[in-house]
Amino acid sequence: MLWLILGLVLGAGVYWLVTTEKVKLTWYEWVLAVVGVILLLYGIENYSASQLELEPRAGGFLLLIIGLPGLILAALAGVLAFLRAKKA
Amino acid sequence: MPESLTRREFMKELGKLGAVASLAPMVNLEEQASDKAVGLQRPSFIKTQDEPTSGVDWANVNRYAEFNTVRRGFTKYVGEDEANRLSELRAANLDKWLKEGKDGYTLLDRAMQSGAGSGGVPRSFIGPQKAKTPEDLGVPKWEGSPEEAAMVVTAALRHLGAATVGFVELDTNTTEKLIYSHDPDGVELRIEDAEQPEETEEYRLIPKKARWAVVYTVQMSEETMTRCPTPIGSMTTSLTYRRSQNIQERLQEFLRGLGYMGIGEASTNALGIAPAFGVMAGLGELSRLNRLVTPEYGPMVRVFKLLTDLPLAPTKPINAGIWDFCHDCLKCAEMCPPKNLSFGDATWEVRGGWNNPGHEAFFENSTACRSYWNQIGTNCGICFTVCPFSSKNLASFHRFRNSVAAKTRMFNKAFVSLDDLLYSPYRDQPETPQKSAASWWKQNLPDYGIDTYQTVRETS
Repeated sequence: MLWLILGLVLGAGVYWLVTTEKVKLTWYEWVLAVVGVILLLYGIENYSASQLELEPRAGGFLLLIIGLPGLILAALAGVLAFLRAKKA
Repeated sequence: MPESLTRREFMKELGKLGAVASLAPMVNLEEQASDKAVGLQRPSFIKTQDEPTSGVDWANVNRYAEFNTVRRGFTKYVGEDEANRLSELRAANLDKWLKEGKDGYTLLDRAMQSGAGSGGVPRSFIGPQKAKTPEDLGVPKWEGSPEEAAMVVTAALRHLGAATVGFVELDTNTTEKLIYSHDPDGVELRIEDAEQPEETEEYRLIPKKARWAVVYTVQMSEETMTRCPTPIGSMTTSLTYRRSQNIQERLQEFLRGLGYMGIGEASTNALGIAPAFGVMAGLGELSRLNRLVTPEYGPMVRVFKLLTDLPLAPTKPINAGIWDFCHDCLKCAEMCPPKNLSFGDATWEVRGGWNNPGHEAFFENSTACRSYWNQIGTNCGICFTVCPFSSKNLASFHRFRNSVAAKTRMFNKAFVSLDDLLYSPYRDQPETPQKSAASWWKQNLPDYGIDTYQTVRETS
């Protein structure tokens, strides 16, 4: 269920980014966003699997170590695009 | 199908279609079985090879008497006075900690330890000999290729409770030397030309035609072992031994039913050197713990063996990067309270009479280990539970680590540091269980505390 929801959110997000006129990402913003989202998903996967492994402490650290950099990269892509749109 | 369907009829037909679709693979089961390769279908980063990753000089390997291990010969190595002193210390500590209600040593934990250590049929060299043989039934004995035999024995063992299964063909100049010269009870193990195995008070006779060793692992619960060194942690091994007793007897009867002999361990750790057989069967690699570490469960298994005259396709030793990893990782040695494990490189020099020469290993000081067991009033297992490969492998990070470690040693130290952070909150206090014993009682655990689907997941 978690992956279904994440897939729907991700699909909707990508669809909006591709179709909207308000935001146009440059190639390097796309790279940052894709790498960021992949890391974030990998962090979430390790977090949820660690819960099943009864290792919540490890899950928290994995989310922090893998997911947080992913979130920062994805956010950076968003911030760059936002600042550029604001300037224009 | 009717030309015009009501909603109810449509759903009924859809159900039939679903049933046909789900049964379709079963129709071809026999065909698929014949195509199945022998051995574990492991990820490609685990390579098979002719020789084990740890060196063996077969010319200098001799059959070893099990009673020389510290398990049986502790008093011989430390002296009677020291053995008695430790025995008294053990009793005093257990009594003190029970009354103090120390975590893992409470009445609840001690009772659970007693429960887990009970049950299981007695081990037997030749098995109960009760199953009807093909001769009794008036039919010829089961025949199949060595590959088919390996397949059915694996299927049977897995159903009976084993985790991973491998096979070693005995050779007089090499692998036969892994059979003990004497069992733990001092009884000699003779290998001679004979039709049937035989057991007397002086010797146990293994017919020369029993050329195949079935080697199998039985999983241990990480959730109890991680609470060692405590009685609740010690039930990890005792429960696994009790389970394995039933597995051995059932395998012996299965083989008898097929028309073959099943020569088992007459007592715990009898018959042959378990880690060595595990390495030769490709179930894992030798490690700094000087025990078998498997790619699937790390060291969280116990290893058992049985001899048979049913020809079985041998499985090869593996290289999963584990032996190399142990050269870069000192975690078990550093966290061993009596510092009994090797801190150096692997060597051919044994540490004492409890080691068998002729192979390369991280030889350990077993007397220090056993003395510590007495001090804490139970067995230990810290080295098992802190091993980075002792992971349940649901989180994909573990698979990533295993695949990288199999290819390069470059990141091994980083993986160890990460493992410290993730799984060893008491890295600097190894005598403190990494999880509290009291918390074990509140967990919702699977049968036997193990994930029985792990082998399937990792070998499919």
